[in-house]
Amino acid sequence: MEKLKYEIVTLKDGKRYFVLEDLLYQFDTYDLILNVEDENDIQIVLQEVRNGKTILTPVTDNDLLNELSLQFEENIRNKQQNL
Amino acid sequence: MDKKVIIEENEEVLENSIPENLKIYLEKDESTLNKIDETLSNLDEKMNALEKEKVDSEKSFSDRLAAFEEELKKEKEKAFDEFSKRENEINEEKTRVEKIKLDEQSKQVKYIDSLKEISKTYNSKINSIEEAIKACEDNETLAKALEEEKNKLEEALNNEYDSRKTELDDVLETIGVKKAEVPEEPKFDLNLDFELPKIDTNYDLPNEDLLKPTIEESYDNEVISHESVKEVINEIYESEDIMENHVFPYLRAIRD
Repeated sequence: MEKLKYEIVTLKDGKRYFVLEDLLYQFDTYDLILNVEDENDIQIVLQEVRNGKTILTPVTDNDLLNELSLQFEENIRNKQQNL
Repeated sequence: MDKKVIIEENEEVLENSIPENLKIYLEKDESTLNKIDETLSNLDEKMNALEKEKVDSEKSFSDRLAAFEEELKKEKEKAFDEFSKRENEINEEKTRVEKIKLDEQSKQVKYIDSLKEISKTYNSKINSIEEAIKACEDNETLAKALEEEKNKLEEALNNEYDSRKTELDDVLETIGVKKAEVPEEPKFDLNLDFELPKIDTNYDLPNEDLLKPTIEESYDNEVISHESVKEVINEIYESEDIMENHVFPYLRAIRD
C-alpha cells in the first residue's frame, strides 16, 4: 500500500488534500487529511486498495473516530515538539 | 477548751466539792467514760490500720499500672513491627509486579511490531497477487496460491496471538491472577477476505479482455495522483492558526 503521509493527494472529484498524518490501527491504515483550499475541510479517512486503486473513505464509526482522533492528536503533539 | 483541762477540772470539782459519801454514785459515770475512751482508742487503731491499708493499696495500684503500661508498650511495639514487616512485603510485591508490567509493556511493543510486520507482508503479497491476476491467464492456479497465502498469514497471526496469550496467562498466574482477561479470539479486525476478480474461464483462446477484472468500480474519492510536500506540511505543523484553530478543534470535537 502506498504511503501518502507528507503528500498532497488529488482525488478523482478534483479535490486536493494534504495528508498530515497516517496511522496503522488494527491492520488498517488511516489518514488525517486537510483540504488544500478549505482549512475547515478536515477528515479522518480509511486508506484502502480496491482493484489496484487507492481509495480514501471517510470514517463514520463514532467509537473508531474517537480512538483515532486521540491517537492522531497525540502523534501530532509529539511531532510538533520535535520540529 | 482542752480535753485534758476539762478532765482535770472535773476531778478537782469531784475532790473538792463532792461529799465523800456521794462519790460512790459517780463510779458508774467513771466506768462509762473509761469504756468510751477504750472505744475511741479502738477507733484510732482502726483508722491507723485503714491508713496503712490505703497506702499499701495505692502502691499496689501504682505497681500494677506501671507493669500494665510496660506490657502495653511491648505489645504496641510488636504490633508496629508486624505492620512494618507487612508494609515491606507489600512494597516488595508491588515492585515485583511493576517490573513485570514494564517487561510486558516492552514485549507488547515487540508484539505490535511483529503484528505490523505480518500485516505489511500481507498487504504486500495481496497487492502483488492482485497485480499478477490481472496479467496472467492461469486463474485457478493463482486463486489457489492466493488462498494458500491467506491461510499462511492467518496461521502466522493466530500463532502470534496464541503465543502472546499464553505468555500473558503465565504472567497473570505469576502475580496471583489466574487467567488473562483477554478475549478468546483476536480482537483485531482482520480484513483478510476480499473478492477475487470474476473472470470467465469458459474460453478456448486467451482473450485479453477476459483477463481483466469484470468489476470496474469508480470512486470519487479515488486517489488519482499524489506528490511529496513534506516541507509544506512541516510548515502547516508549525502554523498555530491551522493547527490550534482548525485541526485540534476538529479532533477534539469528535470526542465531545
